Amino acid sequence: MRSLEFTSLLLFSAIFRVILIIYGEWQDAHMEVNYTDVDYLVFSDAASLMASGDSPYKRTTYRYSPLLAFLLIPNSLIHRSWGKFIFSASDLLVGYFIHFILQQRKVPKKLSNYCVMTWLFNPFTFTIGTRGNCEPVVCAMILWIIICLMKGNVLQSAFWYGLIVHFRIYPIIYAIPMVLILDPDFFPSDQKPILKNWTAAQAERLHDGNYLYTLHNLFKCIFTRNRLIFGLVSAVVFFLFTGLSYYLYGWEFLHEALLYHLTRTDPRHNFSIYFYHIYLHYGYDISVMEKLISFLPQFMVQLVLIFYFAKDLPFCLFAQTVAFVAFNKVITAQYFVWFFCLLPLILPWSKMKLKWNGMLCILSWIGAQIHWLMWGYLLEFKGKNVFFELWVASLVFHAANVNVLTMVIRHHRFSSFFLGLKDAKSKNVAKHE
Amino acid sequence: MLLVVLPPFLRNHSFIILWPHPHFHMKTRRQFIGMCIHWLVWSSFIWSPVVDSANSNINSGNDRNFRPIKKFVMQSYFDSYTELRDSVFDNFISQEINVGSCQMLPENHDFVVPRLSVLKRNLIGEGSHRHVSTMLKFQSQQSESLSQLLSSSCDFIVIERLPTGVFADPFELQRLVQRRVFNEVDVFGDTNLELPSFLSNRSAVEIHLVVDPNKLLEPTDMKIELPLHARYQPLNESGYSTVELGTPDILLRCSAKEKSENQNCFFKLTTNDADVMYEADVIWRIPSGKKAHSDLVFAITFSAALLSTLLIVLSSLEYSKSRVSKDSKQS
Repeated sequence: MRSLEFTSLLLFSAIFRVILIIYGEWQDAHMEVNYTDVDYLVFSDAASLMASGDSPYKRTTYRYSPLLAFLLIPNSLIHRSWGKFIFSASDLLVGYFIHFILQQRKVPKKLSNYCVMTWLFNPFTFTIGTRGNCEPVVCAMILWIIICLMKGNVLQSAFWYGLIVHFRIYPIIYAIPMVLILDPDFFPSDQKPILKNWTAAQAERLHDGNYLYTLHNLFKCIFTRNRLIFGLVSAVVFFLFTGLSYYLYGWEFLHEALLYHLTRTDPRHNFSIYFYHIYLHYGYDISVMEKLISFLPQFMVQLVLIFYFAKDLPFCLFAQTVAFVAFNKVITAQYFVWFFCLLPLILPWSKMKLKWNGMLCILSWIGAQIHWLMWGYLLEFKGKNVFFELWVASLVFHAANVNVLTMVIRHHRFSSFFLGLKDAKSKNVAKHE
Repeated sequence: MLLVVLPPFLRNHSFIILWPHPHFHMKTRRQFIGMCIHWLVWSSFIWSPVVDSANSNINSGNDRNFRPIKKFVMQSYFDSYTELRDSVFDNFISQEINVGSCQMLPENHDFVVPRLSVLKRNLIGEGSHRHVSTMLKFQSQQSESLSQLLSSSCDFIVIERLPTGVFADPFELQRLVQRRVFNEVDVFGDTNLELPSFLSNRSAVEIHLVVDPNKLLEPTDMKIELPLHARYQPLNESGYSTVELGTPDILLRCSAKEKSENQNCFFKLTTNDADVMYEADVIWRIPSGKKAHSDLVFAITFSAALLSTLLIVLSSLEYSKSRVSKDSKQS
């Protein structure tokens, strides 16, 4: 009965997205402002270039893997909205994956449905797929990797991980927690890992020095079979796809799809706190010291989050993604989807109530964004010099992001993703008693 | 299916198909290499010394297989020069566009170039995305040569030379062509959409508009609106950078119905400076960063980053401590 509820949720979301895509086509044809994202036109052009045997990188501002252009080749053969349907389908797939993961962890159906709704009915997510942004595909792959790990399918998870790092570089930040979770305690040889289920209880029993134990384990047996398989297979897959793309499209591919993202400093205004600093110093040489200072906060935060939360994999990935986006040199709205897809996975374990802590978080985050957008509008569409005010607005937005992260951390009920061998045994003993 | 082949030594053994053939898949490497060898052999016939001597023969004989004659005047300019410079460009126009060399008209033609009586320029809009509008009024004098010319196909070519501070989006302009606002349009020069102005070079937009031959005989109005975008400007103490747009060059090009290089005629439409009217300034004030902010922004940005790092580290630490203490209470 309850699974029917989820199916109807999914169906409703699907119909809604189809309507949005059709509406988008209408708006593009009849109104001055396009519904479709500019990026989608870039993908389509690159795909049609690829269909005619040319390099997709001939299209300026195409900065993705050739796989994306390949996926969109039917845009020129079938219909130009093919890509939007693919992205919206991935969007729905993410919803299904979230439902699957929560069900596997025995989250009560009602709670699980609410969590899935935070993805399916999030205005950010349904607009991003229907406008033609490729992020839902990335999110679907990340969730699939988590599912593969849940099933103990290390080989498959390594393959998809290598592929997704080739597709979009940012998932490289997940490398360490994923290697950490392949702890022999969780993944005993030739046995499926045991998921730790959701409980209504408050805290969980701990070993002494939970995380230090993990780190110690890591250094002691970094070369376990599972870790080696994961590391090698993902590296091989990454180099295979990257190498193939380099073979086909040469230096252009390397520069546009990889190096651009690693060294990207865009002086144009965006949510990042660094944008004004970059603009004021654009064209001047950046000293090594400065590069270090800008990289250090990001690096430290990532390490600290991994150190404390690696065992609770979904939470670790979520926290890392929020921090990564907040401290990045360039922030655009599409990056938010990266952590929105992980949010439903941690909500059942959050002590935060919607009233009023939850509402405060949501409203402050949205409010800071609207505040920034207002100054951005004045700058770009009214031509007023509000660079300083816009920069302050980006500081405020950064503060809102950090606030949300710290609030979520404080209200989180730590729950290890897998049961260690000892825990499993003691659980069995407790059952028999 | 039209095939355009460029000599292999210029294109690294790739070739361009103008319309994708639905059944054609470059499935295997071998197929692809086979294709290349095939085209190599084929194209070597074209470039053999025998055909080289008579240039015009190549053009007329192989018109279908090589690039068509230059549609755009600016293309010829950028073939010879790398940068857009006003003095060089004026020279280029007066040399290449020679009224006297028009072969469609007889030697002693009485053709007088249509004169612009009014040229109004205006910058519409606010912010970084605006339109520059040009309103023209012109009238030709009736003459035999004019009727001769009118039997050919003519179009107006408007060349807008842009300063480095602004740029035109080629993709947006293509959409205007699709909506039949312009006949053809292209952007030449530096077409990078993302770099700030101090790292960019100048660009030029060439717009082609269809001319209804009958309209040339009566006083005619024409209005052209070109969408432009501002680049990021170099730093300025006042907070604003000014960019000034010049007057466009307006040419009339007539070509005989049979498309051939020798039959293009260009006429430059001119106007007395006194007649050029500016409704409002075509001076664009674009916001730019203030250098005075430099140190303050640097200090506060990095302090903010450091502070938030500390906050996150502390909250993680505090969280783990509270968990440990909770568990030690429980057990």
